[in-house]
Amino acid sequence: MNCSQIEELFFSKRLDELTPAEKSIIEKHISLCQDCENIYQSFQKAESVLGKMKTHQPILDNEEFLVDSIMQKVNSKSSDQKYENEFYFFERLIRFVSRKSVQYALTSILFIVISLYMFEEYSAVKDITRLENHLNNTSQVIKAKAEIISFDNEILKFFYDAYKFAHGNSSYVKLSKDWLLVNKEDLRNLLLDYEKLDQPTKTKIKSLQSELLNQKDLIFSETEIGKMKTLQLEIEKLNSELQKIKSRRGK
Amino acid sequence: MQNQIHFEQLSELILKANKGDTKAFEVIVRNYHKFGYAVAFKILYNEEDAKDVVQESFIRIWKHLNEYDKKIKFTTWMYKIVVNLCFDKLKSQKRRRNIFKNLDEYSVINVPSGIDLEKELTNKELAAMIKHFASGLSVKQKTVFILRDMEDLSIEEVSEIMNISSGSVKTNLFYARQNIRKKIIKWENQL
Repeated sequence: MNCSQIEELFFSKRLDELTPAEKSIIEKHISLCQDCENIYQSFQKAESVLGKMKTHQPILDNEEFLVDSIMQKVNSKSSDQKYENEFYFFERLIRFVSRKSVQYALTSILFIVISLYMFEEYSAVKDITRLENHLNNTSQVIKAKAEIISFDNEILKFFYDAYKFAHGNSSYVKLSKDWLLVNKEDLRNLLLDYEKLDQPTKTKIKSLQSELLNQKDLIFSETEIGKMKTLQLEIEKLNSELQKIKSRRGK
Repeated sequence: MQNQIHFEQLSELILKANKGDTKAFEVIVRNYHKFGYAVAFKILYNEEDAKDVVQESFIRIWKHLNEYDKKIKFTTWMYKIVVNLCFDKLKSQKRRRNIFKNLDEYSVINVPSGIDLEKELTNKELAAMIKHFASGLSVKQKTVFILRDMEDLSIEEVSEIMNISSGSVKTNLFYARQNIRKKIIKWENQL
């Protein structure tokens, strides 16, 4: 080590921080270098001054007063804290809510919530109306079809005869179920008139009856009955759906 | 300055104080207020300011005791609070000094003549000595020196208190030691 390195060691480290190797290098160096020996002595003196300074601590007068004043503040903070714990949340909440930006945000959220609620209500009402209409329409159709099915063959035959007779048409006519339903009352009246007919006309009608029976299957086929059963099930499903929506709205 | 209570006792006191036991906290205050005062005085050179800092430090400790991390020493945490408050105080003093130029009680930076280190030093003498020897150093360099060489804290503790790296502590310490020792040698030669 040269002189500047030795000097750097003196000034950068404390005596107790020097390693045995560093101490040995310093000792060897200063035994040969008078300048560094002088610096080392100064370094030792500085170390001694610092060591003595370290033992001096500032005098604290009125120590008890300081401790008391600390504890007084701590105790008051402690009771404040108790108060704070109870009211801190609400105080902060009020302070938070009273901010302009928060008020704007809350108003927007409220507006969105109300809009969503209204939209949902509107959609629900729309859905219910749609379902009710659908249900009514379907029910009417089913009811009508059921009525037609419930006609026994004899009555049906008379209806058909009466129809043919009224129209003076002996050719093949495809009987519409809807037509039958709509004109049911008229057909009944026609049936009553039939009783008043003369025998040849009645015979002519009888021949048409057999034709009607052949066409019956075309009108009320198994497929048609199957379709009606499916529609019945659909009605039940729609009804339960309607009930669910109604109860949800009620809640 | 010797720590009068053991680690286990201190942990128990902290636990009790954390639950609101002010008596337990008073034991902590009685045992550690001098540590805080010594550091604060050496940084601020003023008894009243140092007392204010100690008082404020313990109030902060009381308020934030639940945040105390047991992985670090209680004294290290306390020193950290004290040193930070001292820095705040120095900043406000600097602002004040800009208005009221040098009305500080210990504004003299010459070491009083006839000082005897073998006898007990008055606060004024101690402040003057530190202020004289540390003149020309930044607050950071001076604080690193006080914590490491006057309070005998480890490099790691100083690093934690000052919130700087160990390397930065060593660099600042090197510069502070060089400066202070040169001033001490000069002062010694003048005697």
